[in-house]
Amino acid sequence: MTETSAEPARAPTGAPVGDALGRALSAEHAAVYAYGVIGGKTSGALLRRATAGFDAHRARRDQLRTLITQRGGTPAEPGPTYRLPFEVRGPADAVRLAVLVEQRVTTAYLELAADRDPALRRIAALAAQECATRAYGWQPKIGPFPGMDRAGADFDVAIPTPGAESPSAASSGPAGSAGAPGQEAQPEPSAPDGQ
Amino acid sequence: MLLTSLIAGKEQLVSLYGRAVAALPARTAALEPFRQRHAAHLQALRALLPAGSGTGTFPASPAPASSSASPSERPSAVSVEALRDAERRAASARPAQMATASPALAQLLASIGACEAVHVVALGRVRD
Repeated sequence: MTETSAEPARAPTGAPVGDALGRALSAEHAAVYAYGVIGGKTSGALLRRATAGFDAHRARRDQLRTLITQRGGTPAEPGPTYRLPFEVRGPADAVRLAVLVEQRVTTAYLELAADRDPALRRIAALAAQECATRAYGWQPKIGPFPGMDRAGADFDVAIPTPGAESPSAASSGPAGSAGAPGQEAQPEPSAPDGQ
Repeated sequence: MLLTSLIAGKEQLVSLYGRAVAALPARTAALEPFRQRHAAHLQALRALLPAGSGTGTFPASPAPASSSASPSERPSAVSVEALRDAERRAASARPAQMATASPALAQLLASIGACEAVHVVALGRVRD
């Protein structure tokens, strides 16, 4: 499973499992967080939709965790908190965020769809279909290539917020995590007090 | 799965929409965006063909649907529900098609399948 012919070796430490799998997990972590926010700003039918989305992403998150563990990797934990692309003040913002989340996760699954492992490709294909369908449920717009839309790929929907204000403080003190696996913004376990 | 087979399948979907629009003129405006998205898929799939093979290697337009179209899909009678079934079949076939595809094709098929899955839901809002 790890023989590589055309691809460079993966990071020697911390990332024995495909990076795409790890990034899909990161996207699902962010989606679970975002859906928590979405659920807090919606009611009625929208809240039910948010709850369904939350449950679906949590299930996929757990599945990805298991897959990473099965492949000898260590699944990344979610960040202590996440920075959203905009403030979610009400239902309209919540819907907008949900669409972005689904686009972002779809993009992550498209990357996983190119993995060498056919089993992962299959999971990615099904998950991408679910995400795109949920996005349509939130906002009935259809693009020809879900997950490849520029709008979804240009920025992260939810970026893990490091505990300290300055990124350098986080990166200069990697106490226990030498070479965090594919996590450029590995969140620190401390409280987000650096406002 | 051969790329040419994937292209032929997508050509059939495009032509199916063409027949549906012909049979349901009142739904033309609603169905045309669906057909256009399939045409975009078709274009993307064709772009993966080796440069030399061009469009002359196989029919570039209306598929040889006669051999594979089911009897219920006669040219004269394509309902929205038939489109929906075709979309559903297409989307559910994508994961298996991706198993042996190149990474680029697998990624494209995943996105196309996601669009087709959305079409299944969206067609539920289009009545014939």
